[in-house]
Amino acid sequence: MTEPISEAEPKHTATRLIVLILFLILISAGYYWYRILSPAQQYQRAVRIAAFRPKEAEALLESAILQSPEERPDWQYLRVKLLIQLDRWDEALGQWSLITDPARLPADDLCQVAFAAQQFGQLTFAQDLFQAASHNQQLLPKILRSLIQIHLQMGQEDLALQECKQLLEIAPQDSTAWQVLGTVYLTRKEISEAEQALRQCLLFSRNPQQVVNVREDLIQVLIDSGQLEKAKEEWHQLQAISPLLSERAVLEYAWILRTEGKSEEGLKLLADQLGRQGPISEKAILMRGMLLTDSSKFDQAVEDLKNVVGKQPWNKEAHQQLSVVYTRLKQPELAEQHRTIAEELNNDSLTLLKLNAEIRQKPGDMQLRQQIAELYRKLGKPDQAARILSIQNPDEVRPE
Amino acid sequence: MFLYGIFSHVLALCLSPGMMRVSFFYSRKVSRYGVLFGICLLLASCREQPAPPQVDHPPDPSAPNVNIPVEESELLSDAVPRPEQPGDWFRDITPETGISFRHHSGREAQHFTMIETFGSGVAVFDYDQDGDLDIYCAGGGTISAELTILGIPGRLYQNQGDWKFLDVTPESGLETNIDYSHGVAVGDVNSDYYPDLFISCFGQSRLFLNQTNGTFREITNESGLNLNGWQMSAAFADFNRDGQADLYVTGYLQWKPDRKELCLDPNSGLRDVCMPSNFADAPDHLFFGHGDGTFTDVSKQAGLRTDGKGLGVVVADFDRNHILDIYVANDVVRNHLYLGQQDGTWRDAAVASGVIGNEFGAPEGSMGVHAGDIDRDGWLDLVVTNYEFEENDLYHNEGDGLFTHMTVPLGLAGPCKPFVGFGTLLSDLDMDGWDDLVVVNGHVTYRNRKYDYQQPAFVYRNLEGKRFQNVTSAAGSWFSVPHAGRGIAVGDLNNDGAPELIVTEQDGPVSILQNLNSPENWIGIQLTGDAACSDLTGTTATIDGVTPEISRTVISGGSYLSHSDQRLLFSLKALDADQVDLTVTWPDQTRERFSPLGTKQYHQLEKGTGEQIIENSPAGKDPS
Repeated sequence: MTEPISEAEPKHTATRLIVLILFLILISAGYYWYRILSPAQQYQRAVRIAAFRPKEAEALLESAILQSPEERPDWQYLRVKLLIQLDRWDEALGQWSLITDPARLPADDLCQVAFAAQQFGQLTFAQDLFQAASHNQQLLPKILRSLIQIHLQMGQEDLALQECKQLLEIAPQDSTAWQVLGTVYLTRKEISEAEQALRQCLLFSRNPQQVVNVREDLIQVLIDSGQLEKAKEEWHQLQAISPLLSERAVLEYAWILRTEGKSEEGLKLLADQLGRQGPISEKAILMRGMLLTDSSKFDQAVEDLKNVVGKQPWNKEAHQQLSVVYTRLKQPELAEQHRTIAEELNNDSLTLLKLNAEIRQKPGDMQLRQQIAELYRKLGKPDQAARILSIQNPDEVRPE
Repeated sequence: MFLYGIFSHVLALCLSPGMMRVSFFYSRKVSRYGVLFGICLLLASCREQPAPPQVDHPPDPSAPNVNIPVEESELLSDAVPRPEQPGDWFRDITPETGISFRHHSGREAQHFTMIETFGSGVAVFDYDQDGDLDIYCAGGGTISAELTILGIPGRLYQNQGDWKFLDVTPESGLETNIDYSHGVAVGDVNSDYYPDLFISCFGQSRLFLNQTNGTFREITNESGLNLNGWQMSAAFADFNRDGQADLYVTGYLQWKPDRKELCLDPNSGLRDVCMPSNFADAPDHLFFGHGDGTFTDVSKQAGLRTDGKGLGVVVADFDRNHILDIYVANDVVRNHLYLGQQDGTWRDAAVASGVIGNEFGAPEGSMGVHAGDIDRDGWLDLVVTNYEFEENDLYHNEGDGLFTHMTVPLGLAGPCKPFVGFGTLLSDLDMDGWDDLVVVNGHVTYRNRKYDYQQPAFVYRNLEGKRFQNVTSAAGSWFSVPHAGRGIAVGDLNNDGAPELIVTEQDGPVSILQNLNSPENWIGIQLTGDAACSDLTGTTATIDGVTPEISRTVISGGSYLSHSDQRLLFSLKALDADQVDLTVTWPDQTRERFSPLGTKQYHQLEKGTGEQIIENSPAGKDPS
C-alpha cells in the first residue's frame, strides 16, 4: 500500500524544486525591473541628469513614458522641455500634443516655456502653452497680451480681437489692448469701433510715443470715414503735443487741406515740414504731385509723378494721377498710356485678391503660390512674395 | 484564484489607467496572491504608449441658428424730422398730395435674397400731355415662404394741379400682373408724341404703349424686347440717329432664387444678403427701335461688353461727336463708358477716358449716375454714387472724351463717404444757373454694415463751378432724418420754374419734396421733335447773348432706376429781361433760333417752327 507513495515522492520534490527556482527567478527579475528598469526609476534618473546630460535624460524619459502604464503629464512635460532645449521643436510639439490635460501643469512654468517658443517663432506651440496656462488668473493679463501678439503675428485677427476684449474686461485701462483693438478695427474698416477704441487708448495711455501713433491712426480713421472736421481737430491736437510731425501726420493734414480746396497751403506744409531729416518718401512726392495738379501747376506735377513712377513702376496711384495731369495738359496719348498701366496694375491687384482666396482653399498648390508670388513682385511687394513661397504651415497663410 | 488574480490584473492594465487603480486595490485585498503582483506589472509593461482618448463630437444643441429674423426695428431709425426753418430748400408735401405709394421688397419673408435690397425707381413725365408732370412708381414685389418671387404693379399718379395727385392706375391699364419690378424708363417708341413706359424687372421686363387716351397697353411680346433676366436701369434715346427711340437696358446679375443660398454676416455669424461678387455678371442690352413699338437686339453688333453688373445708366453725347454715348455704373466691377463711333458701334473707352472708378482708377460698387455741365464749359460732366467707404465720383469732362476725377478738389470728399449711395442728380435746385448735386443713400445689407440701414441724403450747392458746398442742413426737414434712399427724379411739378425732387425708399414711401426756392427769372422749354426725329436726347438749347453761356442738354436715364423730367429749365437770374432768344441744336444737328420767348413760363418748341440757322453763317458757328 505504501510503495506507490514512496515512488511518487521524488517526482514531487523535483517539481517543487523547479517551481521554487522559477519563483526565485521571477522574484529576482521583478526586483531588477523594479529597481533598475521601471519607468519611475527611469524618470528619477532623467530628473537627476537633465541639467547636464539632457540628451540622455530625454532618451530615458522617452522610454519611461513609453513603458508607463498610465499617462504621466509631468514626465511628458519634462520631456517637452528637454526637447526644446535640444532644439527638437517638432518632437516637442508631438510630445506636447499627447498630454491630455496640460492645464494641470504649473502655469508659471508653462508661461516660461511659451515665451521661449514665441521667441523661437514657434507660434502655434507658444499659443498652446499659453492657453494651457490661462487658467491662472494672476498670470492671465500677461498671457492674454502674449496671445494677442502671437495671433496678430499669425494673422488671426479674430482671435486677437477676442483676447483684447477679454483683457479689457480684467484690465479696462490697458492702453495697448485698446490700441490693438483700434488697429484691427481700422484694418477691417469698422470705423466707429476703431474710433472708439483709439479714443479709449488715448484716454489711458501714458506713453507719449503711443499717444502720437494712436492719434495719427485716429486721424486716418476719421479721414477714411469722411469726418474731415473731426480729423482736423485731432490733427491740431497732435500738432500741440508733437511739434515735430511725422511724415504720416504731415500727409494726413495735406490730404485734409486738399479736400478743403487749399492745395497751395498743402504745398507750403509739405515744403515746411518734409525733407528736413532726409529724403522725402515717394508717398510724399505723390501727395505733392496731387496738390500741384489741384493748383494747376501741371509741369511740376508731371515732374513729381514721373519721379514716383520711375522709382515705383508698380505705383498705380501715381500712374493714374499722371494720366490726369496729361489729360489736363491735353496730351491724351500719354494720359492713356499711364491710365492703361494703372488699369493693368489694378487688374493685377484684383487677380491677387482672387488668387489669395484660392490659396486658402488649396494651400498646397505650389503653382498657385508661384503665381501669387509673381504678382506680389510685380506690385512691388517682394517681401510678400518671399513670404508666400516660404510658408510651411498652410494655416499661417495670411493673404493681403 | 491564481488564474483569476492574473487575469484580473491583466484585464485591468489593458483598460484605462483609472481601471488599473481599481484593480490594484483589488489585488491588495487578495494579499495571498500579492506575490504575483510583480508578474502582473511585468505583463503590463508590454503596453504601448496610452492611446489618445476617444473624443465624440455629438451635434451641438447650442449651435446658433443663423436664420434669426431681422426685425424692422433693426433697420428703421426713430429719428424725428426737425421743424421746417426759414431758408429751407425743400418741404416734404407728400401727405398733401394724396400719393400713398410705398415700395414693397418682400423682405418680410426673411429669405435674405439679393433682389429685395435694390428698391425701385420713379418716373416723372407727362403721360397725358396736359402740360403738367405725372408720377409713376415701380412697385417692387413679394417673396413667398416658398421663395416664389412675384411682382406688384406700380402706381400711376395723375397731376391734378395745386399739389394734388390722383391714383389712376386701375383705369390706366398699368394694374396688370408684372414681374418683380425695379426701374422705369420713358420714351416715345411709336413716334406719336405720347410717352411710353418701360419697366425693368427681375423676370420679364415690360413695355407699355401709351394709347394717347390716358391708358396704356402692354406690348412686351410683340415688341421684341425679350428680356428674361435681372434688368435694372434703362434709358430711351435715338442711338442710331434714325429718328426713333432705341433702348439701353442694364443687366445686373445672373441670379436665381435658391433655397440653398446662404451668406453670413462675418461679425454676428447670422444670415445676411449675399454680395454681388458671389454671382456672375448679366449683360446689358441695346435695342434699336423701329418706330412702331418693335425693337431688335443689337447688343453684339453694337460692340457692347458682356461683363459688368449694371445698376445705373445715363445717355448723352459726352465727346460731342454728335453720336450718343452711354455711361454705365457697375456694381463691384469697373464702370463702362461707351463712346459712339462713326461706324455705328460703341467702344468702351472708360479706361482711356478715366472714368472706370475712383481717383486712383480702382473699381468701386457704383449704383447711381447722372450727367450735367457743372462748370458751364459746354461739356457734360459725370457724377457716380458708390458703396460705403467709397467716395462718390465727380468726373470733370476735359473735352474729347477725357475726364478727370475731381471729387476731392471740388469739395465733395468726406460726408457721403461712409454711406451707400444710390440715386443722384445734377440739377439747378436753387435756380442760380449752376447745377447742384443731390445724393440719396441707404444700406443694402441687414447685418454686415458699418453704419445704419437708413442713411442721410445730401445736397451740395454748386459754387459757380469752382467748388461744391454741403448745404444739407438747410435742405429741409426731410433731409434731417435718415432714409433707405434708392431712386430719385427731378421735375417741376407745379411749373413754377423750381424743380421738385421725388424720392423712393426701400420698403418705404415715395416722397414729394417741394422746392421752396423762388427763382428770380427763368424759362422752361418743352421740345417736340418731328416724325424723323422723335427722340430728343442730345438736343441742346442755348440762351443767346449770355456769357458765360447758359445751355442745357436733354439727357436720358440717369440717377438710379428713375426717369426725370426731360424739359429744359434755365435760370435767368443774371438776366434782367422779360424775353430771351434761344437756339436749339437738334439731334440731327439742324439748328433753329426761337425768339422772342417770354420768361417765367414754359414754352413748347416744335422742331421746324423756329428760324433755321444755316451752317457757316456767323450765327451758325458751332461752339464745339
